[in-house]
Amino acid sequence: MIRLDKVSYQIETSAGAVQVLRDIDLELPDGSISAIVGPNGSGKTTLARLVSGLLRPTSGNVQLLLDAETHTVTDVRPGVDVGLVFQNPDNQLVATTVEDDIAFGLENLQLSHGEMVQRVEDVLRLLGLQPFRDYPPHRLSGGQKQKVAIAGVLAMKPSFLILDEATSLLDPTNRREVMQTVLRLNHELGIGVVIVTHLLDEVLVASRVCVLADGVLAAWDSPRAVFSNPAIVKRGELVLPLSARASFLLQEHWTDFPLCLTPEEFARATCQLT
Amino acid sequence: MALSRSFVLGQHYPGTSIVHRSGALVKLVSTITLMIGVFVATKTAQYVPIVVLLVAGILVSRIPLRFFARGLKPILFLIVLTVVVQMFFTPGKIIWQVGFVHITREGLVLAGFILCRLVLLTLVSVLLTASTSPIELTDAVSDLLKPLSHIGVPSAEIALVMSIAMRFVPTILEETERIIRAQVSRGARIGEGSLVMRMKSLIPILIPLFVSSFRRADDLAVAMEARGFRVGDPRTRYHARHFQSIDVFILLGTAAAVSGVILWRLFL
Repeated sequence: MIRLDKVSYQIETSAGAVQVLRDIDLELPDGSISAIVGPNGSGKTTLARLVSGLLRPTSGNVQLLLDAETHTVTDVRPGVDVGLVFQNPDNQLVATTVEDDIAFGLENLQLSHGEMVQRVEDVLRLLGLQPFRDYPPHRLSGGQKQKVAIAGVLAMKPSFLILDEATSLLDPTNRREVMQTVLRLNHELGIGVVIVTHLLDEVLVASRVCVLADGVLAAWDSPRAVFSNPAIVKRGELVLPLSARASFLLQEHWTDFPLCLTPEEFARATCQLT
Repeated sequence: MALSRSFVLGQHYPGTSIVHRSGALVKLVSTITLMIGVFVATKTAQYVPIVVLLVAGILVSRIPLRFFARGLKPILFLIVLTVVVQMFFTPGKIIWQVGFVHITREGLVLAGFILCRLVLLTLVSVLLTASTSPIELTDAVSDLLKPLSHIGVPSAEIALVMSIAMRFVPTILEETERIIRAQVSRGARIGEGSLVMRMKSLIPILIPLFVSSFRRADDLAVAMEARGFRVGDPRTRYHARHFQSIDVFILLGTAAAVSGVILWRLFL
């Protein structure tokens, strides 16, 4: 579990100190799926980098709980404990071939040659990237590049995977493919997932959603609880999924119409109206 | 043709020939040695041992000859310019003259010699980069520079910078094409008019290209850090390689060819 305890982060600018995040308390359980949403400039990316250990908080602690019974904690190590996948796949692939890029993080971990070969093979197989192992990154589609980025992170065997708007530059087909891959990894490997996104359809797979507004935690609850609270929706400037918006419109005529988050839920609820 | 396909020099041509399978460090050392040999020679005939070795290397590599021909294309202008200058402006015994324009015997010999020198230098480089993957090449550079790390030269970092530069060449070329298309669609006239106008028309391409490249570099630095990279920290190597018998043959062949050039120059 990753625990954030009263985490604040401040940057110095020419105009003075700017408080990016203030007193954030969160607990991300192992194997869970969480989401971070909020308007531009609300501190989503900063929070993701704090959770991954890339940034150190100005005050408070970000710690990895190793043993719940003995309360043994340690600092989060980037890549090793938490892997981070960024928005633009072109700007995170380092090597000239898929295989070499996956091995990049392993070389940094100073693993033996045999261990590296084994891990690269495992990850190529897991993500179905074997046919592309010798491909240079520029010959891959956007979705394939993002899968290679995930593979490079995954080879380091982190406990958590953070997707920092990792699907925002992809077309719907590639976006769906990347999300399905991530969900499969969560299901099969038990890897914890944190999705930082503007696309609230992606949030629905999360068990809890963190809503940030002006660097403050506005909500930390289930997607249904968050979306059904108009004050949080307004504060977080959230554009609800289409089904949820349609549900609110229907509630103006049928007050007992439920909040539907998916098209399937909406179809079922609509059928029951007649 | 797309910009990214125009440049053969530096492009890898994957294969399984013995040239491909031989050690990158050996090939790099051989290439440098052959280049020294090319510069040591003072007469065209002295290039024979190098030409023999190079032709053998090209044939054994099974890389199509048109790939090498494409490698010469970018320097064609330089070759023509140099040859013309040498032919017409070298003093000596005049063998052809129209008005004040003349060709001398010495000029022709010198032009042929420089033509051979430029072509050989290019072909040797193309054979190295075509038969060696960029990552192997950068590892080889790192190995070659390793002794300098004792005096503070960051050999591993230099190799990584080279590798990243090669990784981003196609990406930056694609970005350049995108920017050109975007500017042309907004009415920009790229490469038209006088030399000054043509130079000016590059500004709307270069500025966004620099901005996006700096942003890309910043993102890449964070992504590398997120994958455990720290400047100066030791790293292991994914591509482990051991010395093979073919490496010995390549080194011996190179040594023989360059020795041949030196002996020819000294005694013949």
